[in-house]
Amino acid sequence: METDRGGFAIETHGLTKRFRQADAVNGLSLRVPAGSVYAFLGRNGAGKTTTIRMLLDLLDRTSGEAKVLGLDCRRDALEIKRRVGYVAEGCRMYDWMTVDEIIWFCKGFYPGWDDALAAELKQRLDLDGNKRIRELSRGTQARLLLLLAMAYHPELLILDEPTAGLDVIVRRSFLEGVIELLSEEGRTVFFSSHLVHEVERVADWVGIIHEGSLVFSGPIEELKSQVKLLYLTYEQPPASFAAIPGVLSVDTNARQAAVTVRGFSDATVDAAHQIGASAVSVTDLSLEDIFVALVGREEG
Amino acid sequence: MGTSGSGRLVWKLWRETRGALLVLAAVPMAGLTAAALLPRSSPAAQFVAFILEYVSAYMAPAIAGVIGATRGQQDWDDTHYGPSHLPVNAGDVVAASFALPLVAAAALGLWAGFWSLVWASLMPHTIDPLHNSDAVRLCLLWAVLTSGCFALGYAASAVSNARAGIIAPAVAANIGPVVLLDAARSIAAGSDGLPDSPAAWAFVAAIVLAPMAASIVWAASRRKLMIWRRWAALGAGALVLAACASPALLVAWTKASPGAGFAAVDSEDGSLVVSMTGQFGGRAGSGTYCQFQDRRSGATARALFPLFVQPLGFASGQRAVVATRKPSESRMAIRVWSLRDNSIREVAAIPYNPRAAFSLGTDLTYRGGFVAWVRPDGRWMLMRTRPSNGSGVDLWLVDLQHGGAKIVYPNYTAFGDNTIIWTKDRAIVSGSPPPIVVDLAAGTARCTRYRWEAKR
Repeated sequence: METDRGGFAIETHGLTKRFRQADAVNGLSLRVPAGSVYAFLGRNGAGKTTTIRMLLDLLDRTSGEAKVLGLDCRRDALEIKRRVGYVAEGCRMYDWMTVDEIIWFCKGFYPGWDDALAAELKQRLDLDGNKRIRELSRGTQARLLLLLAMAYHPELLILDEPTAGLDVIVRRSFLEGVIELLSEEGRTVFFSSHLVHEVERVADWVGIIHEGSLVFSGPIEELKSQVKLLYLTYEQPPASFAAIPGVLSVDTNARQAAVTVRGFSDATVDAAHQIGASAVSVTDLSLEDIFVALVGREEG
Repeated sequence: MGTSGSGRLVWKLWRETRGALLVLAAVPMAGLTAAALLPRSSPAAQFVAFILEYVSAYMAPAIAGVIGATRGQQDWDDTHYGPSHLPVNAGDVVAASFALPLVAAAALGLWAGFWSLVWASLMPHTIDPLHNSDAVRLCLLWAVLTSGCFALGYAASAVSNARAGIIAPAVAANIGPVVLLDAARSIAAGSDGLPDSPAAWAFVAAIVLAPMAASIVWAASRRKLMIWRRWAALGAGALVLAACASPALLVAWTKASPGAGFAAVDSEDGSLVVSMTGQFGGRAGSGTYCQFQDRRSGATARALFPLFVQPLGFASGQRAVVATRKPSESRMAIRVWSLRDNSIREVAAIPYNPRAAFSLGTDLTYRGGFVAWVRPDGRWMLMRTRPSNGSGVDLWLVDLQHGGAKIVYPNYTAFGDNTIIWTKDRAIVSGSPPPIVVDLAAGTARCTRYRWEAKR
């Protein structure tokens, strides 16, 4: 059952997970287009892993609905596991096995396992088949997990903080490896991270979750076009910046102000002039700056 | 190696447990044999032998428990690769990771049980326990113990965590071998202790019902457990374990091994007490250390008796009457132990009759002392034993002053506990029909209803 290219690889409606009295995920409605590389961003504890664990039926949801590849997460959990590749940070593998043994072991569970692809991935990911897993570095273990998650041609690859704990060189190499492999296959990738600057290079869609709620979901370019930094120059500081629509943050001094806005348009510039700005310059923000503006605002 | 997922789970199971299974098989065999052959000529050697016995017997259920805890974690803790990643049916997991090791643990339990019987048979002064019908039941108990420890470890770690999964069966593994080794020794001594042993069976109930209770609570909750559900399941298991194991422990700790030990015996007024302080046995000899104490004056005496010793009663002048038997002897001696000068005098002997000898200690334990009666002045003693032939009990008269013992009333039908009224030259046994009057000087007994007399 191939995912409809025009459909959604992941679709949730009002997905909620409540732990005791706190909502870890609160009414999440998420749509991940098939074929996209979707970065699921959030701070530590924002609800990223909880969401992913509900998608893979590793955690019961409190309420709401969730579908992966058109299948119900709870009812069709086994089928979803057969068709989804999953790489999770901190996952404990059978460390007494060698690389070749765990490849052989996992092969038995997936009808679509491709020996040739596994061999190719082993070579490309520079894995030594005779080494025991306990002897592998964390980066190499992450690459091995990637091999195991991809060798059966999953329609969707879910990566949960796959590079956490790795040094910057290994992280880059890993992510580039993922993108290189996936661009060849055209699969959907859904990966969570709190390392925003690294996501920007590989993702084309982004979802930002904060305290269990979705703050934004859409193409990265759309997010970048919506969130801008305005430098205002004025003779007299305005009494308030509230007249500018979608203000996320304001940093002022006697003559200038740096205003981050969401939902940028020509009207935003007009509004800046109306509150007394003599000059307005508009600057693009990096994904990391946007993330801080959107999520940091809540903290402020 | 199979090619399906199930086959690979079995392969993984074998690779992960083969070392532990080897240890589990080898340790009881080697350790118990070595312990049985170890000379026990001193308390220190006895202690070393005990440690060796205990560790050897402990290994089988303990390792089974650890294997269970490991499997439970790997199967149900989704931080492990398998539960979080692999598309495996729950049935396959249960088959490969629970059912198969459970059977293996049971088989190794039978193996450990067999070696416990070999151990018991190598001990001195024992009969061959392998020809006792209780041997099969003992082996089955071992099988239940090891597989129960496995199940307990599995359930506890699955519903809680690996630590709980190891602690829970560790408790069971600690208790179990003590009970079962005791049972093996009883069988080897010719006792029918095993089927009547509430300790053993209560323990079996504990290790079977505890994981069952945890599983029920677990299953009653939803598949993905919240923390409180896990603890509820664990709590249910622990509760059942405690409820079943507590009486078992109590019985195991307080029950006297037939013919080999006894609980402290007090005089009627509680002023005198004879208690056992230690035992040793081996090819070089055996014995039981006892202590005789007057609680009012604080006077204490200690003495070494033959291995089988049982206090029967007390008399004036700080005296105790005890029955003793060396394991190899065919007679049971009646001795008077004086606290004043710590002297021990043999006054009589009765022929050894396994049925009578073993019942003596057992009856005393369970019948609260209504088996032997010493006249307060210490001149005479009446005691009843199970008869060599026929039914009822044999009533013995023992002359504690001049020595000698004779059956004054064989096959006496005693329905309950007897009470004795002592006169100057007679003893009247009443409390269960028919009442008997014993002429002490003549050594005869007369049934008041039937005028029956017997002379030996």
